[in-house]
Amino acid sequence: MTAIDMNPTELSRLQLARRVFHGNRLASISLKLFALLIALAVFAEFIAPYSPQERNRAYSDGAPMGITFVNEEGRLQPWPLVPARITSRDPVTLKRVVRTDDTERWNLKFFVRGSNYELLGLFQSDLHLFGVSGDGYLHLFGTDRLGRDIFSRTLFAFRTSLSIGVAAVLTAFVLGVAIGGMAGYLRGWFDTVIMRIIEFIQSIPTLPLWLTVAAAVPRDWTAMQVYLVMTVILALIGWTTLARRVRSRVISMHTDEHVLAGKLAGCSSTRLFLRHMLPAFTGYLIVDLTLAFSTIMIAETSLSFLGLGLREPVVSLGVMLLPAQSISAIMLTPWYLIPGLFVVVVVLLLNFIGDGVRDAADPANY
Amino acid sequence: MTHVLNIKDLTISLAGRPEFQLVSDINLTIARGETVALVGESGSGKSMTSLAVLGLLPPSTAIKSGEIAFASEQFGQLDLSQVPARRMNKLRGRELGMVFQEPMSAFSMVHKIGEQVGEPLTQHFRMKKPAVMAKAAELLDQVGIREPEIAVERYPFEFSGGMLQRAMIARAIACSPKLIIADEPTTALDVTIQAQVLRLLSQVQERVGAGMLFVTHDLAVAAQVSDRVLVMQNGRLVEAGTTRSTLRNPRHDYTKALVAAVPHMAVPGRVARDETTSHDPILTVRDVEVKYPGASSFTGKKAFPKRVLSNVSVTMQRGSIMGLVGESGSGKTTLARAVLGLVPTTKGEIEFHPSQGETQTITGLRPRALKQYWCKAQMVFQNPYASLNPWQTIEETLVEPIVQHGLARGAQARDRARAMLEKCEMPGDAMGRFPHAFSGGQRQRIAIARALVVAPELVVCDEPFSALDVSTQARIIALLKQLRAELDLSILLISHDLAVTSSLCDEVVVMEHGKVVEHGRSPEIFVSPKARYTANLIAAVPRLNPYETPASETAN
Amino acid sequence: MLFFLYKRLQSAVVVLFAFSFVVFYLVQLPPGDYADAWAAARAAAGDRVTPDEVENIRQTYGLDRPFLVQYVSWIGSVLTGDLGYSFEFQKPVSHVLSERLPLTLAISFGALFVVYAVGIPLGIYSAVRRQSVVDYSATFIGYIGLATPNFLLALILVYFGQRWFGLSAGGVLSPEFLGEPWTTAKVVDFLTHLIIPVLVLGTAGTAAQVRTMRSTMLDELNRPYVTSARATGLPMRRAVLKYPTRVALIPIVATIGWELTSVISGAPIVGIVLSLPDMGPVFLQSLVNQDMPLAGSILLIYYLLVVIGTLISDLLLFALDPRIRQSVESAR
Repeated sequence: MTAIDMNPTELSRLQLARRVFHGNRLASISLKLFALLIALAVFAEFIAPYSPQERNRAYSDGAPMGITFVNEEGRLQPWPLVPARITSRDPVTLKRVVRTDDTERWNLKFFVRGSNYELLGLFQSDLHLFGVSGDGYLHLFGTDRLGRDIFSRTLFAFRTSLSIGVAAVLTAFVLGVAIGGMAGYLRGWFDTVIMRIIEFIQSIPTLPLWLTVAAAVPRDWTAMQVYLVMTVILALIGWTTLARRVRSRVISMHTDEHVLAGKLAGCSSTRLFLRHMLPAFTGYLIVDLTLAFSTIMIAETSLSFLGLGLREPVVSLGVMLLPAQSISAIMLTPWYLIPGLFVVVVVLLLNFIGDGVRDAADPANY
Repeated sequence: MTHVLNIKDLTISLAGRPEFQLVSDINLTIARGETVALVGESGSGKSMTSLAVLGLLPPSTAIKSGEIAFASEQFGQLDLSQVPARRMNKLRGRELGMVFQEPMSAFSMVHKIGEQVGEPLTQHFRMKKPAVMAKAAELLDQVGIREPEIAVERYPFEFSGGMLQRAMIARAIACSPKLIIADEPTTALDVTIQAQVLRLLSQVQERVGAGMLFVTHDLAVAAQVSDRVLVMQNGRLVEAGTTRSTLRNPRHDYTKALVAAVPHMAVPGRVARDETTSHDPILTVRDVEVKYPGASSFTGKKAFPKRVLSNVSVTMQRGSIMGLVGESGSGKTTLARAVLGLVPTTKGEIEFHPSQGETQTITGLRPRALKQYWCKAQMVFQNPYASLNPWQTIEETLVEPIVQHGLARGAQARDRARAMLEKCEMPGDAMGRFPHAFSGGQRQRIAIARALVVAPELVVCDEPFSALDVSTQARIIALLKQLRAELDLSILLISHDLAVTSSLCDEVVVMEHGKVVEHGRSPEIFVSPKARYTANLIAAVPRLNPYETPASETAN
Repeated sequence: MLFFLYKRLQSAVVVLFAFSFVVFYLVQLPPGDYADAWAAARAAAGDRVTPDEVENIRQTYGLDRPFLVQYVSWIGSVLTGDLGYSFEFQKPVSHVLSERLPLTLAISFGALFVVYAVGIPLGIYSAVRRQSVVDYSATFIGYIGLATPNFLLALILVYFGQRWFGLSAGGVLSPEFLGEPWTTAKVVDFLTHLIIPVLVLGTAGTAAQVRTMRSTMLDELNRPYVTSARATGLPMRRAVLKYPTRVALIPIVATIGWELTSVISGAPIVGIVLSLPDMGPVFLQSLVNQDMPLAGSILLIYYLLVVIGTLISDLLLFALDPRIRQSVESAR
């Protein structure tokens, strides 16, 4: 019969989509970086040289410390070194002063023994990716007022923020698809009620409302309870966009020819929805998800930053930013802001990934 | 003879990639008052050629070589492929008038008709707004739009497609151009409107004395308007000559194929299948009415419900092909969907009489019963690009109805699907592929296979050819005929194309505004239509030979 | 038109009531009330608080009444124009707010102005000159703007503003002008203090508008009506500005209400970070202290601003899109 040309036509839609996605360099790299960040968060105990609550009394409010390859004699070395710090007291003000000692170097070592931890709740270990030998110390991002290592804390905080985001986004996703799908499918009064609720939620200024809700969380709740409530609050805001999207797609697809054909082929409503409708807009849902994820990360950080979200001893990116509230703190210890840059990076990566998925979901790009 | 336009060896390629030629070595001349038709199927490069003349090629393409000589009134002899942008702006709209394909999308929906029609006047004669509006009204009057003073204040979405196309013509002739370029100006219109617009185009062209380049895929339309015809295939001219001689004795194989593929209107004396005696209906539609609730509007208030079908009664005989003909908005698609229970009816009954078992009333059937009905009645949709689920392989698409209807499973279902696919003249190895690997014609074969795989008795085909090129269309028609004979099908064919219907159907139902205006056996209804609407419809169909007398007059 | 506005207002009022109820419910939700918060604050300050005093406060403010009664009495007085009495500030809410509302308005609408004045032209330019330097930098800055939480942006701007330009952060006036009469110098000083909050509030919105404008413009530029307008002899620039721009503005205008919502959303946090004497810090304080009349009034004002924004957006849409005009008129 008629010849069918081979090549790209042999691939499935998913393979094509993947090809388009990876054709977008920025998106492809972002996805890899994001995967790396997630790995950092998951293996935080191993990668972080210190535990989140460990204090270094000799180096509180300390600036980020660099790594050098030049030894104390001014010669280049193949292994990394850390310029040593000396703590002394100012004879007049009696304040503690830390300065770099150019005559001494601490050796940076890999796979060193440090504090004990339990990785993934599976096995115990005291092995850390890197650390400094002897009684030296290394604080890549500096330390906070209590002398806690900001680098290590950022990793743990990132994990908390990420897990809140994932939990909230998944909840929002399930709510959005289920409610939106039902509203689109059933129409009638159910649809009307749902749409009114969505309009209501979308028309109110979200942050002030979050503030109100967050402020309503009793002070004496445990960190875990606050964590759960925060997830729910964030998810409650996030589902509306998804629900709207799903609903309008379901309604418009009702009369699409391939959906009608599926109906004639004897598919049940569920099968029709899952096989013939959902795949067509999954790509767009993923884009929405990445965006919802960024909104939720930003919201979590903002709330915790104001002291209305998570609280110590839980470490989240927002909690870490809390001491940066005062202007004097920013001027004196600008490294307090580093955890905030993590938020920016993650949201950026998610946006790039979202753009890539959007392209990949658009059949016009194959 | 002086040429208004003289294209020499025009070659257009992708910008920056000269080896990708979209149009190669086109030669074309148009004299004053002459109409030249450029005919070809989609992708043949005909529209590209017309855009090149206007200097409006998309940025991804570029003129590689050749000359477009144009006799300008303002600047004398010019090569349009070399003219700088500013001078080109002075030519467009003033000496070069353009009529586009889709009037609905070629007008901005948020600007007034008068403003848009008068745009060339504002641009070239620096006329002020009231003057522009007055002149625009005058132009609209010339193209036969009623109450032009009111019309100029309206917006395009308040106009019908035919009216918009008239307005577009008014704009094209606003500055009495030397050359009118019409790119498929009637493709988006119904036949009766098409006939009117074609007539209008010829009239205004005569009035302003312009040359016209008429781009179309439809040989019959070209035959009606043009003095000369140029046929394009894959970016090259394959044949050129006077319209009459080219259509009478096409020399190139491609032109021959095109001429042969144009469906001819009912040939008098064609032997009809004699089945009037066997009175064995498969489908009875009785007094059916369908009302759509008014769409919920901006303020949440319900508009008046719209009646799409009123009192439609039709009986269809087993084993026949019944045509359902009408222009857009006649309710034919709604009726087709109602027959399959996809659209709820508000009144009347639809009955299905299977070869075995009892008569089934389709209207008001519960979902479970409907599903059983769909084993016996299936549908082929209009747009093969939209009707196949892009996320399923052909195998999944074909096996799904077999499994879901509980007819077979596993290897058995697969074998059955493959057999049907091969019956529809597709290779069996197509099974593992996805729809996007196939052309429109191939997809339509797959869609037909999907409909037939459950072995239905009744198949509803909703404009199954309208998205296809003429040559593909002819092959699918042949396939349908063959399958009907082989599988003993009854086919309800919905179409706006009278020619297709007349060549394929045993019986024809003509619909207008949701009502049946005529119902009769196929050759007769075209030879001696009873309803006036049918007669108009038939008269409006473009014929390959414009000098041929309409069929109705030669009838016995 | 008027009919339509009437309908819109009607539904706004309904939502306003629903909203006020939710707000009131949420604010009183945590265990304890203002009296407890007051007692805790006094105790923290080292004062001795007797249970009688607490009970006294509770009765003065009617905190011992059932929730619904409290709500009805509050909303009733709001309807008569009385926003109630702030427990915390010991003065009428309207007094507390009248000092702060103008600043909130100035900052919010200033930000809104920046969003559109910068976002729309930049979006058009990026779409028309795709892959130009401006397009890339707009995209880059846009991404940064979208990705940075407002408060972080505020902190960073404060840091660099102070280091590089000596812009004093926080407050709306330099100390030397406090209590001085309004002179030109003072006005200039006031305006320079507004730069950072307006930038902070406006950046995310600007980024979003540039993106929307750019992508709809790109869609619209490929439409046949643009080619067909060009075919009448319109030069490219005029054709772009006249036809697709107007169409592309429709989604932008339709979301003015949302944009205002998000600006308003960001306002409190910016006010808090930059310690501006606007409604932000007071709002946070009132939430923490369960100062119901104050918190409720501020939320209502925020929402009222959103309603106004939606109305503006509707009016502009009306002017811009004849299809909407028609559908509204035919719905009558």
